[in-house]
Amino acid sequence: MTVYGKEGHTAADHLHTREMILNMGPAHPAMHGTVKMILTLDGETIKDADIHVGYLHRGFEKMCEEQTWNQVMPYTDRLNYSSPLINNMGYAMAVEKIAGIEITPRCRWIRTLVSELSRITDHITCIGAQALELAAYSPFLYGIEARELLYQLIEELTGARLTVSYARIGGLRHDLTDTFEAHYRERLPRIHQLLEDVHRLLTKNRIYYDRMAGTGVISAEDAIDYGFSGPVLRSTGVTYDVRKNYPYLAYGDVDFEVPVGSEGDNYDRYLVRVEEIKQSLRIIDQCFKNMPDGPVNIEDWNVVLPPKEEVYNTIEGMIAHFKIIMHGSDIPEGEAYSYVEGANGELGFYVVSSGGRGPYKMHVRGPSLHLMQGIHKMILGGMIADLVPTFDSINMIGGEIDR
Amino acid sequence: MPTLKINDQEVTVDQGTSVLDAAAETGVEIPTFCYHPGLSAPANCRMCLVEIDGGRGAQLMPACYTQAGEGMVVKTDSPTTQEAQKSVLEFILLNHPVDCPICDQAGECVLQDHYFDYSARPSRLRHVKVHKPKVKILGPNIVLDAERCILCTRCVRFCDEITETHELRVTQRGENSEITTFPGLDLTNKYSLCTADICPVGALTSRGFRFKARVWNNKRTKSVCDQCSRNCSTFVDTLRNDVKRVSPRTNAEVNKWWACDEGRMAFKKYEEGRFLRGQVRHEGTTHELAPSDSYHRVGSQLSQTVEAHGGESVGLLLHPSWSNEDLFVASQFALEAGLRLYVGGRTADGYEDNILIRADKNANRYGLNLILDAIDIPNAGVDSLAADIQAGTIRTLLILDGEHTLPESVITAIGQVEEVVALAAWHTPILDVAHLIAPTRLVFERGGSFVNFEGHLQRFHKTQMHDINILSPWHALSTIARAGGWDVQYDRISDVFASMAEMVPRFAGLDYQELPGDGVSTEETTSAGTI
Amino acid sequence: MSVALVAAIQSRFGDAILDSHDLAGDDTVTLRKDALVDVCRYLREDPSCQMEMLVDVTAIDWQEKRSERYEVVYHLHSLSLKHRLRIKVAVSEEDLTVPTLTGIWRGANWPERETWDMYGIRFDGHPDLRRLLLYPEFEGHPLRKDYPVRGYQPLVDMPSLPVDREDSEE
Repeated sequence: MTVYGKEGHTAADHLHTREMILNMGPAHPAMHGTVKMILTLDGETIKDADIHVGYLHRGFEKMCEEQTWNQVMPYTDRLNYSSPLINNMGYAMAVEKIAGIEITPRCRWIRTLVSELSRITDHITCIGAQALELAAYSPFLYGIEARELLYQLIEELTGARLTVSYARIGGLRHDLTDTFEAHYRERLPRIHQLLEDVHRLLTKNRIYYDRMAGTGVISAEDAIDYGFSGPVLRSTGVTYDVRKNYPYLAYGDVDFEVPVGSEGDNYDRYLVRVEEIKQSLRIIDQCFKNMPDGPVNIEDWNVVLPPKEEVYNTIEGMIAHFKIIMHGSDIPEGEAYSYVEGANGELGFYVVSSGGRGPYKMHVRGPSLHLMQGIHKMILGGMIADLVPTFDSINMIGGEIDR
Repeated sequence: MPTLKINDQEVTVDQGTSVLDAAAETGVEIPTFCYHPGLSAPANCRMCLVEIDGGRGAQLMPACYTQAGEGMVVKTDSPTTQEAQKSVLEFILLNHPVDCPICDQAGECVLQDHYFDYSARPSRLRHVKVHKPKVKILGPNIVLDAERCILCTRCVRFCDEITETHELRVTQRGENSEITTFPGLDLTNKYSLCTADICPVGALTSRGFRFKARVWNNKRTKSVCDQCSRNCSTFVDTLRNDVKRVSPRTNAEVNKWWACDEGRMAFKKYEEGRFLRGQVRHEGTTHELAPSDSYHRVGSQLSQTVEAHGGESVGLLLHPSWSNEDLFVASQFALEAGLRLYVGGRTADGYEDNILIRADKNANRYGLNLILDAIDIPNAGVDSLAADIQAGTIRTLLILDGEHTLPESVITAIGQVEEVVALAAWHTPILDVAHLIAPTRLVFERGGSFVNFEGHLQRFHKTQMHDINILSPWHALSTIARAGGWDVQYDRISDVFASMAEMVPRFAGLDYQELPGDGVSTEETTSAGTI
Repeated sequence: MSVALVAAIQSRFGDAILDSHDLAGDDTVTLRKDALVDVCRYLREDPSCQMEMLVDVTAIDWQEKRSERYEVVYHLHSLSLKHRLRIKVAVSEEDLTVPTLTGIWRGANWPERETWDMYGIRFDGHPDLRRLLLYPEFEGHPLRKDYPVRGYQPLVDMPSLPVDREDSEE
């Protein structure tokens, strides 16, 4: 027990402090996609963080066991809902891997193109939200306008902005629209302008730099140990991008670079994402130039719906259509783990088939799950004010973690 | 006992087994259209062609007709076989109309399934398809769409071999061949709906089921027909709680693959006239009660009569179409309260044939007899009932179920009873004289077990639900008994069955939840033969 | 590349491998449960393997199709040597545990928690084995095949739904 006024004591000796437990979330403006962080604070410094996820758990994997192969597609839209097209393609690739289906060349290029469009929308959302949380509202709006132009393109192609369900086993729902490239080229100057505006507002911004540089640091060894991938891993200096290391679809046939950071802090992650958007635009341009003509779907009516002229006019097309929809294609027995470069990292689909009309087991390896298990390493010892940009730079998407 | 090789797997089968059955023993499925295990094998569809090497080189031969021979090498997945299957399907589909969206068979169509599993090749037809009559009424229950027919002749063989009524024939030739009825005949045999069951496509369809429901939306439940003492196993298809269709379930011990039209269509007669609430009739007016109130009322009324005049003054008219569980609880109740038991029921002397239909139109007389013997309770027929009523001994009569076929004299006698109480699901003219009616469940709305005339016990399951306050007969009787102050306490049907299995020697050792899907025989084989 | 990996494991831990295949090009080995930690440590540390990243942990419920009901599936990845491996361990209902890999890869933490949550397979030695995606009062393990797709949980009270007393046995 301290006695006030004792010799040699300062005011600090009489201040009773204890650690405070602060509950952040799940309903919190900074907690995107409902996450609860139970922080043990000493003043503003974070001593311990207990992360609770699962608020968006919808039983995705259980539901998939009840559906046919193509009926699973709308569920994949709702995984990383900022880049649904990438999820679609990843799932379709996993099933095609089990069945040994070889998709058409045109399909490969279109899938690459739309994946990159999705990646751009995701990165813009992340950068914009990051700025927003640090009280920079204008770059957020500029980013959203750029994203809106891309969403209009996606809506023209697939009919929806988020619930796209564009891929099918063995191909796609349909080919690109006739005006797709023209509309893209029309919008491109404005998109470039907006991205340039965002960059000029943020990249060399003193406040932004002070908040972001040196915060949320993680080392490369820790990042790999926790299973990080994507922009977060690349910000630590590790060159791992599924598109380059294990090229899939048309990524082996296009020129692009993979930006890699060095410090592993929030600022590097921001820079990595900005540069990735530029590279994605480069890839899209090459896709438009090099895309071959030809059919988008494979010819096998056991897997892919026949063309409508056949369905309405021949009994064979009618029966094939009926059976694929009502019963589902019979994918042979087997299992496969297929992975793509999602906006947050390695998005994997582990699908087990028992030879039936739908998956026997379906597991999604969402990159954000591994990022969230390692986030405490990035925020421990920092302040709450640093938690906000760190959490944003992870780009945690609830749909991917919780499923 | 020839040994043959099917897809590199050796199997030994009995002499006379077809290659198709031999393959089935090894787990290999060979597609067929015209083959049916209950009919002769005509080998006219050619879908079961497989490569068979019987010593003179590999040849395509129909598996349903070719007998397994020693040393045969059969390949069901070789390129030749696959090409044959694709070609056969192509020919069959050549003139097949694009009817799937409007065809009743969609979802359970063998042609759809085989095309998708064995072919999936686009059409090469560049011509018009042959047109034939599309909605040809063949009889009261069956309509023919001749374009969909693939001429497997299953229906023709059914009418020739099973019902032996010979109504159907193939007429014309080549691509104009058509199934039709023999001139002057309609498809009127008592099993005509079986032709719609066995038709692999949507050529022959049921008129009663036409356009009523899509099969994949239906919920399918295993049940048993209760319209005669054969107790054919059935599947009941319901959609949104309405029974849409009853079709036969294969049961080698009871009905094989068939079911009669009358039994299958019986569900239609129960659609009108259901009792959904209790009825109290007094001087021309009818007043309704909630079901639970009506059970209590019946119970208290019976107990009043028994207290005043003894159990002998109350008669209980059993129906031998009720389930074992219902009849067991009824008998326990009668024993407990000292009531008089009479056995009524539908006619025992109806139409009978040597295929499935039995003269006794009651489902469970065998079970009733087992139960009454085991409980050792005196019972009598309806003539005794009339006599006892005339003698003045019966003051209250509890009629169980309304579907009794009674002689005029008995009906008149019942009209003279002081108090007629009924526990019934469906209105019949006999119940006009009832003063108090408590509702119960139809056979479709409850579960239980029947024993058929050969001693085969089968379980039937609930297919549709109505008001949960309306109880199954065994449960209603238990509630009535308790309301009257008697100790008959059953809340779970498996408890009823367990008690019954203890008391009835033929049911000993049976467990309600473990009864096999095809039922089990209750007949004991002693050295003196079957009982 | 991964073929050499499987051969390396074979030569060092010969009897630990119960089965292997490479369906769809994914190299897969089924290991004995007691050899799991040793093999994984070897795969992580040996210079010829260098599997720095544990990609994912999940499980499959085979029900009666297999004698041991569950199978825990691990995916490993080496960034430096660019090879991948899938490891499977059979787990029976009587002994529903697997040793944890958190000592080798810290990134095994949440995936193992998720597998516990969904399948009820305990990971011995896990520092914090509690549910990840579901709330703590949840009863049961939903990805098991015998958990109904439309299952009800005790916290959800629906008093207005009438229940047919006879229904439970039909």
